[in-house]
Amino acid sequence: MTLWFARLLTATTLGIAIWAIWLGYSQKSALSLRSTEQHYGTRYGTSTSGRYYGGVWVYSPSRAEYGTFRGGGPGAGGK
Amino acid sequence: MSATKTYTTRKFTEPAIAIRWLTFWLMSAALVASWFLGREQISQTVYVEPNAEGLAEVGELQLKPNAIGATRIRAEARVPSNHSVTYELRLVDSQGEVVASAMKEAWAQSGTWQEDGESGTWSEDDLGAGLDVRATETESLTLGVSVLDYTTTDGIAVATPVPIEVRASTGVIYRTPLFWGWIVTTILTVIAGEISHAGIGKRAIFRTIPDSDVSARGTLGGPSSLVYMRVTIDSDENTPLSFQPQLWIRNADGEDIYTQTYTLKSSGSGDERKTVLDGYFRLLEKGSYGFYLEVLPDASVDRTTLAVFDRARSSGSVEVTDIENVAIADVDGLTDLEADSQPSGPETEA
Repeated sequence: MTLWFARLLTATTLGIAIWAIWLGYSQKSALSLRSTEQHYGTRYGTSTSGRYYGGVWVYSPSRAEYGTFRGGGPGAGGK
Repeated sequence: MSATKTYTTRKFTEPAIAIRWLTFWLMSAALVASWFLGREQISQTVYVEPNAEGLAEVGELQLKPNAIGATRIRAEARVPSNHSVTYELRLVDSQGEVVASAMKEAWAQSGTWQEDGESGTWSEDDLGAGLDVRATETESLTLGVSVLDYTTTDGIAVATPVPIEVRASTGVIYRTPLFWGWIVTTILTVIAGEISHAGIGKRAIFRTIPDSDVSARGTLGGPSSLVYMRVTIDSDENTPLSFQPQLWIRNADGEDIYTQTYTLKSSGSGDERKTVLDGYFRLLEKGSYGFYLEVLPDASVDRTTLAVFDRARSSGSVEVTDIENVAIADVDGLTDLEADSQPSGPETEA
């Protein structure tokens, strides 16, 4: 019983370690450039201000507000 | 004493214990190695005018698809207290198209507080930003920063340029999962260690008494079973430097088949000391065996605990004594035993 539990715990520990190392070294949660498939995780409280549509970066509405906030003008709301 | 044999073996090592240590070292190595990875490409301070459409160029970033790590852009705005600044990190390609952008609402605030006649000042800020990107093709992108909004805390727009420190490195590892992984792995390793220290195997004998002599009987043994004996001696502040516990093992017929006097360095401090004796045996014939233990000198001994585990596993290389179910000649003293040690005596043969 104890042996069985100790082995289960060891297997769990090894699993968690491999998973953590894979997450850290593969940088899967970084922003993948020009890719529609994202597993992005924010860093240092910094959020992306857009997303990819067919490999093209499009500003999100919250980012577009900043153009009009300063009086708008041509190009307000991003490219 | 002809019926025993002592040797060092790894045969009974529990693989789970070795794997657990390997896991811990792997996780630690991965965490330590992550500090040394990453190559700095850009380190510069730019002064950025508040203009949502403008872009202050920091430098060219060479990107390459890599299996390991990502390009990390870190920035830190330098603003006076009670100001907030919203700035954006932007990657632009050679055609001027935005490839990626990330936004940070940064602020710095300070003030005074008063409570029960005491007073002081406080200041807090959150000015750093970061963006990790992974390239899908080899390319060169321009890294730029723009300040979207710069105001005082009261909402009054400020027109002065904001100094922003920008650094970019390639091949950077995401350390957060490694850090948490290390903590979880360490906790689980400690728990698993406690479990295996408590004895992996079937507890065949357990007896604890507030005295220096302890004895108990149980069914255990067999040629493939490692028998692990753990004796815990609780003693007070008059504990001598070492104990000389003597052990006898008796078979189903009450005959002594093994005796051993150990010299055990006492451990612990204060008036509650704990000394542990570990012993590993193989009782080649499965059956009922009695363990008799006498701790000497006994004056300081408050409690003696005897635990014997059958079909145990070791955490590494251990010294194992094989004991055959053969009565030893004389139980009264080791001197007599040694005199009788030639296997000529008729009693020594079963």
